[in-house]
Amino acid sequence: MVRNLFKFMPSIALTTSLFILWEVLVRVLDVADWFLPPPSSIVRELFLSIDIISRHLLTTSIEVLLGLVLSVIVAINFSLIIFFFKSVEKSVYPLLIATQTIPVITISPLLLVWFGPNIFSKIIIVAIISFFPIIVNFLDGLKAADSEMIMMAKQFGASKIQIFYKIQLPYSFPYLISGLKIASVSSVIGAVVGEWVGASGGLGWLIKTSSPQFMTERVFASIFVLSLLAISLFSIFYLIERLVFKKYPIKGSG
Amino acid sequence: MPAKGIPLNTTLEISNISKSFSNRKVFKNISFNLKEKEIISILGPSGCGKTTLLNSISGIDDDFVGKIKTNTKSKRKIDNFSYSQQKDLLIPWRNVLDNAVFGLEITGINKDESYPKALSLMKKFKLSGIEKKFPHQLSGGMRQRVSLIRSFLLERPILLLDEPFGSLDSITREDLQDWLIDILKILKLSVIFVTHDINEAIKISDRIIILGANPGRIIKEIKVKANNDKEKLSLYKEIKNSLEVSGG
Repeated sequence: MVRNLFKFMPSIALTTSLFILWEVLVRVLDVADWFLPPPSSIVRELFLSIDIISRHLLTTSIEVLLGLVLSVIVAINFSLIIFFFKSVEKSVYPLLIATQTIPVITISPLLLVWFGPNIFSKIIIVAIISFFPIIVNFLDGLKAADSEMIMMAKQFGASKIQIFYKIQLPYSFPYLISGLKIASVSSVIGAVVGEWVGASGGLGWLIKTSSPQFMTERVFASIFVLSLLAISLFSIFYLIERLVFKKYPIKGSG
Repeated sequence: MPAKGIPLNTTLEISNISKSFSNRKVFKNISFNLKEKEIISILGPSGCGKTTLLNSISGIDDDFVGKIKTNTKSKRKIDNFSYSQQKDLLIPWRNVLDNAVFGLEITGINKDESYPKALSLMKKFKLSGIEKKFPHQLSGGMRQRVSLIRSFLLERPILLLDEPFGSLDSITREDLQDWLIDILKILKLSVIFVTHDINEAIKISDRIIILGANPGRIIKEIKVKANNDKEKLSLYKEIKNSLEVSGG
């Protein structure tokens, strides 16, 4: 644990010095709070508006979590269909990649029209934005299994299903987790985009409404909380990865 | 399935098999018999199609011309053979015991039955105490032993070995050769052992089949009857000569 903390020392040191520099510069140059508040004001705001911020954090978190769950379910099933049916891969996969070139923010007004300014439009945006990294990584993982290992299993008399469960699926696990790590971070972006376009709550909405009122401290405080949310989600998957690899080392085969 | 026209004490009859790969002949007109409990080495330079030949014999590659008959009770062709390669191909997320029983697991035998079986075989072959270790915690020699145990546990009559000690250092390699010889005395399998090491072939096998390259073909068949170092040396020279004549 101490060793782990030590590993993060350089980044902690850098962050701390950047915040100190920020604080000093803002004070020395006498920058107005509405233009760029010093970190100390942001922290004060965080404590003063903790009620409001945590209420909106809850809204955003629910959107993110439900969106992620939906995305994981759809992406895993889709990957399996693509993996098992080559014709689906040929027809659907290029289309899937093409859809990723459409910026999510451009379809969010449409989702708003179709689903209304409620939680559903946000969940769907989150799901859309986190779908891609999961499906791409998981599929790569399913295909990454050592071909000689598969040959060995075949020679032992393994069926296609046995090869899938005993070799290919475990092999894909680290890839799936990488996908989930990326998805967890972008899912928060998805929720904010959804709230930006049309909502009555959530941290994205709070930022959007605080900014025109020159409540810049609150904007920064919300951004800080949003990034904490993304980091926590990322850390959960990181921890799962560490725990599983400790027990079942995927790397280090001969 | 006992095939007709095979002598009783012959386990495997290979007649005239050839294989081409995109217009290039990999090996051609290979014929030999493997007797019960016999150990045959297939010796040849790299590129003579040794691995491809084993793949064809083992049944994982059906794309060849010629006939392979087996004199066993198994229904499916692949059930006659256990096949070990130069890479140990242990599954990295399984410990030694779970790797050892992998083949049994595939055939539907549950752990209550397969674990004791594996443990007793590992005890018999001096591999006790590492059951809970993962492959990456073992040396190359140990991993190869575990991989071979995994094959032996399937109790298939014919063992195919494709340079199983090829990636090991010479000391470990000698250890494993001795270990394998001891095991084969007990298990009484019929073995085809592919190697490019002449001494290894002399040490392990009853008969040596020498292959030439481009395309792979049988140049010579030699019975190993060397009782002392002098005879072994002359045998070594004889094999070396035929390999050189073939351009290997």
